[in-house]
Amino acid sequence: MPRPPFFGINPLLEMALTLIVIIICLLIYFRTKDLYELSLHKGIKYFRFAFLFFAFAFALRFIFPITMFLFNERLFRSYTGFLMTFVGMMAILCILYSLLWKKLDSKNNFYIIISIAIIISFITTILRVGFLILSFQIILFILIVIISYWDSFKSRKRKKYFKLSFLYTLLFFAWFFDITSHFAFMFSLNTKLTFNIISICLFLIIYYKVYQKTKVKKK
Amino acid sequence: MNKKRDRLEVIYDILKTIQNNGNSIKPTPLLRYSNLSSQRFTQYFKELKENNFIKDEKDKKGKRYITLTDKGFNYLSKYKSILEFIDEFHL
Repeated sequence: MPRPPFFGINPLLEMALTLIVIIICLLIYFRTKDLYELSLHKGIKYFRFAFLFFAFAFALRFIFPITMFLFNERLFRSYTGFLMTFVGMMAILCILYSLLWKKLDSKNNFYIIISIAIIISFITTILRVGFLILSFQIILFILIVIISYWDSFKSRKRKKYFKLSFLYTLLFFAWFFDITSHFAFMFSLNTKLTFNIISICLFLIIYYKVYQKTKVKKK
Repeated sequence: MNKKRDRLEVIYDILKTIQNNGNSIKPTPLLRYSNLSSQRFTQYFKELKENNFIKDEKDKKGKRYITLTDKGFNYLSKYKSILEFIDEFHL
């Protein structure tokens, strides 16, 4: 028997919190559209893609419990599971690549990123092991954190970049607890709610930074 | 010694040169002011034209001149924001 949708926290509250994260991620994506279209900068491109995929990931998490409840067919659940893993992997890989593109620049990198995300999603869907998805995503997020700290230490603007690395670290923990609570159902309702609110705060901080740099300056 | 200009800076310099010349300049002086090799200039010129930053037009006498489009002016006004954004997120 599938568990009812949004089991755990008050369903309306959980839906509202998820919706807020989706809106923030989409705001980041659309807010940076103009800067990307003018500069065609690869770093901005993958940064934007990351938040678009985060929006998809949260949207699927929003839809997944409902579809599981309505259509309890194994095949349908596998498709949705595959899609959820794929967009989550794409989001993390895009953040990673936005930090690494200068070192790994090539025309085919986007296809490589998609291929990696498809392979990992396929393996985890076939094996039906939630722990594998978590492991892959944790490894990638740890890589993001290490690279951003490494770049901070090497940079002259150490203090400024250190703040960004710290933000990515917090984002890693928020994502980790969010996905863990999704797979393990082991956290208390209050803990789960706290993680949801922390995630919103982190995405809001990133949006605020984006807003600050993209707002029209009055002359 | 000057450091090598990156792509965004080269584009800014080219567009700024056009703007500083009353938004109308012939290709040869633009090449000279841009401080690029002929080959690199051609690549940038093609990219700017394809992406609608500049227009390559002809006057009544049939002589070519380059002007900025609205997108080109927009790039110049937002260049600082683009650099600040890239710097902020270490992209």
